Amino acid sequence: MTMRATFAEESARSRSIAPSARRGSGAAGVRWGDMLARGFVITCAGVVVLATATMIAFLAQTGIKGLTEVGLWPLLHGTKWKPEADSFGGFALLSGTLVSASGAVLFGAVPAVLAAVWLSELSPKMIRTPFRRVMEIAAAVPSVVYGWLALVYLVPIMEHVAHRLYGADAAVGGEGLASSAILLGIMIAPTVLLLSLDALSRVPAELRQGSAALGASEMQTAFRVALPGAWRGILIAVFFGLARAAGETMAVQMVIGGARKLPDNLFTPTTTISTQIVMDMQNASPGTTASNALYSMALVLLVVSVIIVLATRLLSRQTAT
Amino acid sequence: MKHPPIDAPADAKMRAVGLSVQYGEKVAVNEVSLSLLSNEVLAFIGPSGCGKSTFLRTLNRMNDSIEGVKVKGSVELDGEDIYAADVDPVLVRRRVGMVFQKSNPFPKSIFENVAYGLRIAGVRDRGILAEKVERALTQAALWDEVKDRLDESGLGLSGGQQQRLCIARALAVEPEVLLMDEPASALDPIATAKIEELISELRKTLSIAIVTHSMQQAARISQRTGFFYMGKLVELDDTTTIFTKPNERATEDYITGRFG
Repeated sequence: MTMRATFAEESARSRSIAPSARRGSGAAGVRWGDMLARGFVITCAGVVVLATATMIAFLAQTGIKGLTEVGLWPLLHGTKWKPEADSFGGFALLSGTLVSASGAVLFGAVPAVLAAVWLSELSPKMIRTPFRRVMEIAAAVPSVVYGWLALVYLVPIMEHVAHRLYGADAAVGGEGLASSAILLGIMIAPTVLLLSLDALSRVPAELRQGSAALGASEMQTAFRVALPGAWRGILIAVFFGLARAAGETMAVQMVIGGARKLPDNLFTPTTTISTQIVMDMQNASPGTTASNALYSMALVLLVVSVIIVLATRLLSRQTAT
Repeated sequence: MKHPPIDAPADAKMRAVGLSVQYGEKVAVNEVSLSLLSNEVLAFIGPSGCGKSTFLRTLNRMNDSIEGVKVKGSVELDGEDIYAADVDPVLVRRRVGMVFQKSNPFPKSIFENVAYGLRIAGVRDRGILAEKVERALTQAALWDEVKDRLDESGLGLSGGQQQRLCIARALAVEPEVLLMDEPASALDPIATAKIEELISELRKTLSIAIVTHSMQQAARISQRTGFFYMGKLVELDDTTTIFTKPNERATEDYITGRFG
C-alpha cells in the first residue's frame, strides 16, 4: 500500500516538473535527439514532395511545349500518329488507353467487387483467409508475368473468339483492345478485391445484426447493408484499379499489337498512350517536337489519372452520408 | 441451490424448455426453462456473463450466425419449435424482433431505416410503406420529432432518438414479440425514461423480454423478473416478489448488492 502511494507521488511529481525540465540542461540530450529525428523526417517528406513536384513541373513544361507545337485539338483528336512525318494525332493512343482501362473495370473490377461481397458476407468462413492469401499473391505478381502469360494463353483464345465472331477469313486476331481489356481486368481484380474486402470489413457488425434481426436473409444483408455501407471504400478500390489499368504499360504492350492507328474493332492491333511512349522514346531526341509531343501525351495520361482521383474523391464524398 | 421451478405453461407466447447454449466447450446457458406470456414485460437480470443475453438471443435465433454455437432443448413460439429443422430463422425473426444495446441505425434516411424490414419482406407500395413507417414511428414516440425530416440520415439523431428509431424499425414489421438487450444502458436518464415509458406502452400490443443491468429498471417496467446466475435461471417470479422476498439466497445477495 505504501509502495503504491510513493510510486503515485513520484510519478505525479515527475509529471509536474516535466515542463521546467525541458528548459534545464538534464533534458537537453532528449531535445537534441528530438530535433534530429524531426529534421530527418521533414527532410524525407521534403525529398518526396520535391521529387514529385519536379517531375510534374518538368512534365508540364515539356508537355505544354509539345501542346503549343502540335496544338491541343490535333493532339487529342488527330488519328494519325507518325512522328517521322511530323504527324501527332493521339486519338488512337488516348482511346486505346480509355477503352482498355474501362474494359478492365468491366471485366475485372466489377466481378472483383461482387467476389468480395460473396467472400466477406456469404462464403463459408473457413475459405476466407486462404482465398485472401491467394489474392495477395496474385496482386504481387509482376505485370510482365501477366503480360507474358496473356501473350501465350489469352491471345490465342481471343484469336479464336475473333474468328468465331467475324468469320474465319476476317482480318482479325488475338491482339487488340479485347485482349488488353481482359488482361488488365485480370491484373487489377486481386487489388480491387482486397481493397473491397477491407472496405466491407469496416462496415460495423452491428448493422449486419440489425438487418438479420429484421428478418433479412444473408443475401439481403449483403446487398442492402454491407455493400452500401462499404460503397465509399469500394468506389475508391474501383477507381484505383481504373487508374492502374490506365497507366499499365509492359503487359499491355505484349497483347495490344502495337499498331499506331485506330483499330477496326476490338480484335485488331492498336496502341495506348503508355505503350506508345515506350515504343517511341528511344527514337525521339530531346527538344524535338517528336519528343515534346510524347511528353504531351504523358501529360494527358497524368491529367486522366488526376481526373480519376478527383472523381473518386467527389463521388465518395457525395455518397458518404 | 435448489433446481429452479419449471415455469413453462403450454399456452405461453414463447416457451423455452431445457434450453442450453454452448460456445465450443463453454456452457453459456444451462438447461433454462421459462415462458414469456402475452402482453407482459419479462425482465432478465444477473451479473455480467451470466448468460441472460445469450439466452435472449436464442429466442430469435440470433446466435445462429456465431460459429461454434450449439443450442440444445427447444424454444416454442405459439407452440411451434423455432429450432425445428424445417423452420427458416428469417421467418422467426420477422415475428420476434430485437433491439440491441448499442443503437445501430443503418446509414440511410430515417424513413428508409424504418421501411427496411418492410422492403426486405417485399413491400413495394409507396402508400403502404409511408403508412406503416408513420405508424411505427408514432408507436416508438418519435414521429413528432422526425416527421419533418424523414429524408435526413438516421445517424443525425441523438443517441436516445437513434434507439427509438431502432425500436420503430423493429415495430414496423409488426412483430409479436420484442427482445431488448439492455436497450437503455448507453442512454442518459431522460432518454432512458422515454424508452421505459415506451416499453410500458408497447406491452399493450406485444410481449417483451428485456435484459437489463439496472435492477431499478427491471422493477419499474416488468411484471415478472428472472434472475440468471452462471448460465442458470436461478429464480423467476413476479417482479415485486423478486425484489421484496426472493426465494433463493443467490437472488437476495444479488439484489441487495452483495455481488454482481
